[in-house]
Amino acid sequence: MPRSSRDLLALVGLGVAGLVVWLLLPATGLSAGLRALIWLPLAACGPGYALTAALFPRTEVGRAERLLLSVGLSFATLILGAIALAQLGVTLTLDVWAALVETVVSAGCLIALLRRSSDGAPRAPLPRLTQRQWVFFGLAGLLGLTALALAGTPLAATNVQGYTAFWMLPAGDADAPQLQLGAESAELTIVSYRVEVSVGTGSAGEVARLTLAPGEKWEATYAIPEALRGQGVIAARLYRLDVPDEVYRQVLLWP
Amino acid sequence: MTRTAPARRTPPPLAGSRLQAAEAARRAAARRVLTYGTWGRLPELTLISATGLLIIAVADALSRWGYGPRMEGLFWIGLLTILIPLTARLLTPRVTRNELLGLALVYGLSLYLIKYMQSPFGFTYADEFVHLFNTNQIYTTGRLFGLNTILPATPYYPGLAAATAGLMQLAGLNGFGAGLVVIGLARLTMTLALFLFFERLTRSARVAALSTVLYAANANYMFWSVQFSYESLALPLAVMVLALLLRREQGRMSAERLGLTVVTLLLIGTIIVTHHLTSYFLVGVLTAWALLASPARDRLYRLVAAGVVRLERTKWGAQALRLARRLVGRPAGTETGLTSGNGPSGLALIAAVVTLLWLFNVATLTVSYLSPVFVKALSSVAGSLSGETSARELFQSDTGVVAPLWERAAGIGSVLVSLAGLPLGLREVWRRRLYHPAMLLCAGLAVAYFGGVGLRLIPEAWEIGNRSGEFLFLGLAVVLAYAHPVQWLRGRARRWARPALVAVVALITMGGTIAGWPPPLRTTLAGVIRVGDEEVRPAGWTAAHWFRLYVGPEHIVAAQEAPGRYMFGEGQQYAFITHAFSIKSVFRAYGLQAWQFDALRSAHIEYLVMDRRRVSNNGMQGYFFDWLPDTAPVDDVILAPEIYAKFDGLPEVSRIFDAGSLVIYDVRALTRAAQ
Repeated sequence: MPRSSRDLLALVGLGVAGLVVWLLLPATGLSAGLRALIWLPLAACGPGYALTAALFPRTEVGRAERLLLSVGLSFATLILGAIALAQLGVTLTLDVWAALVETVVSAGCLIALLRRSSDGAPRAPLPRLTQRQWVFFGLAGLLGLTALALAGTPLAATNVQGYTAFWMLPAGDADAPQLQLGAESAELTIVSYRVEVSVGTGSAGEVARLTLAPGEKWEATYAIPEALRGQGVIAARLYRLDVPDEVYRQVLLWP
Repeated sequence: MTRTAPARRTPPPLAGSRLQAAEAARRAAARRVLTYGTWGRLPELTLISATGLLIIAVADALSRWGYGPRMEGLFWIGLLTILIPLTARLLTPRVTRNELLGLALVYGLSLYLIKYMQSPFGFTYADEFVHLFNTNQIYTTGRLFGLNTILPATPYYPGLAAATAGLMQLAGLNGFGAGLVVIGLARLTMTLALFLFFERLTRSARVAALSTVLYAANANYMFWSVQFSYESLALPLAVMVLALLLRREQGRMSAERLGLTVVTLLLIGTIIVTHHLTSYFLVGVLTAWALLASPARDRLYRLVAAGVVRLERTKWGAQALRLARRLVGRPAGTETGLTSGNGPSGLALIAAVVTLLWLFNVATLTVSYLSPVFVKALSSVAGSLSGETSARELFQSDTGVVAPLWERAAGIGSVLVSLAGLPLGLREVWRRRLYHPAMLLCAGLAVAYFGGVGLRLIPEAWEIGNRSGEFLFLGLAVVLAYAHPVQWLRGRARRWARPALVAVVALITMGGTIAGWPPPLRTTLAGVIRVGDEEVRPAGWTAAHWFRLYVGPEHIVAAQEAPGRYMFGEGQQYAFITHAFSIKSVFRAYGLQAWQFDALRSAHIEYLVMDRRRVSNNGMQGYFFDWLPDTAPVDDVILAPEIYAKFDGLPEVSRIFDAGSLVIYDVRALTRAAQ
């Protein structure tokens, strides 16, 4: 095996790892992180790298060009492969996607191994980093990660209005009609409420009293009393207890 | 006298061994150079760029916290922290190719991260919801070419959605995560492809890096071009095709040329099934390139030369030519190995044929999607030329937000500076690369760019002017970089030229950013907020997720722009928003007329989502929390009650969800009853 084919062997190794994850995935429920760690580089660069190696076995392709070809041809593999398979009537499931990537990677690596000459000159090494340069790159990585972490951290907002979502859907059947009531708080503080239901002109009065913290949800099923059935539009009203006379949210159901 | 034998001349080495020796020497030299220090100042500049990113992250965080537009200054400081040292370094002598390429990559990826940090919790651009819907359709059904009610042509360009759905399946990511990876890789592709294209075109890594940085100054590059949208993937692949064509042109071995042709064909196919406008641009560029490299070009040059000789014989002509030569210098000679007939005529033909086949056999809806845009633009241009249509207000958003004075000055200044640099760059093309078809093509694109700038003044044509910028800037970037005076100035002038040029690059970049994205949206608005230990999201998002969970996916829903796109992308509903079936008038009218009921029936609308905020009609600003009075960085006007409450009184219309500013109505009884 030529020394210059270690890159292909590494890719084959990644392909085998992908194969293991793909076949064992349903059985083991492998952690999402490991799955992404193996399949992201394999799917996003693997097919392109293998095709580049197969197409240009004796040509010196620089690192930048190789990276460009790896990503570009991987996109081409996923996209043109999907279209070709769709034209054949194949449904694009996980198995089909995995088979597509594995086939292109293994075929490309095999062709490249056969076409690569054993006397191929080794590529020029990447420039070495000095200790000082490592420190700078390390600090840059640290600052970059801090920036991304700060960006991805939700913060309290001082100038926005919270809200409460209130809903009502029909439940049960015609003989025993019920209401599915719910509320979800996106308020900025803990709020207490009461829920009233009326049918036509008849009122069922207060059906629930609740207190919701921000992000908290309340759900209940309410059976319409027999006396009120068929009397008209069903209305559910949500009142805030700190403003008890003002309807805060209102939902209506036509029978 | 003794005759000395003539010294035996060393026989010339065989061609093969000479090549080997030269190659070995080159490799040894390369190894010597590469072993130490060739990263130059890249580590330091990466650290400075990361600092710039952190400044922008702080600006975003404070903006979300409630300081809003006041954080604009910090945003600009962060951007200039990234841009200025990096550009200054690019213009320094003795910077290695590795470092230049590294700097270009650091800059391109930093700009991508700025967009990510602006929208870190989910997609918030109008088109992103459209493509998220397509992606989820492929992910859940495993089928391509589904139905899209907002942009019906998009499922017929499934490249982006298919690649993203594939990554979702394989890596177990959600649509947002996989989309970020795909667009991040597309930005990497773009940066590498730009650098390699410009490098082969100008034969200078420094001009290539400067061109790459200048290209990033186009109005759409920072935000629009890295949204989760099909053009964001297709355009980088198109630039990659151009870079590979230059390499193919310079390739020595037939096997290498064949390999590059195969790759180029695969990429052309990928672009055609990914984005319509990019494929048309590519066909146009390849055709123009082929024409510029055809034997006709040489005939044309000979004709021009003969005309010049005839002109020189006249008194006035000779004087004019002397003056012209003094100004622009003598034209470049023919380049070795670059004879006419080497153009990509075969590839241009194949690309044109496949594009047309795809358009008329698969993506036929594209014609009805794009033609009104161009027809309206043409009629608007005609109206403007005849004085019937008034000019569009520049630097003013749809909701009436006017950019501050300094931004308007920077925006106009950047165009004027670019315009001033154009003749200088064209002069360099004339003197150095007149015979290179791709360079001539870039010169043409650079000139055409200013036509696109003119279209920005015309109401119905501004979008074409805006969208064409990222294609045409490809030419302008390299022509402007070619013009940079550091290379031909000497002494003190050269010392001053460098900081002046850095300032010019900064001005062009700021002007482009200002033209491309309105002031309140460059930093983050409150999309997700923390209250105690909980995270809460805006009403539109909550409604879309509630609807999918409690009512189910794939219902037909009518809504205004912002809640409709939430329903579409996050809720997976077939949403009709304001452009379809007269839905716009249904939501904007004070009452409802019979024909508006008919419009709802003809679209088989099952549910209506009414958002009482005027900003809900805005596809850029409507996805965020409501503002407290007097603190809103964006439009916070509430629609009149006659508009937003008009569905409440309708018989048989159930009001099933109420989140204050946003209400969902069940109108199935209404729209089905009268059918």
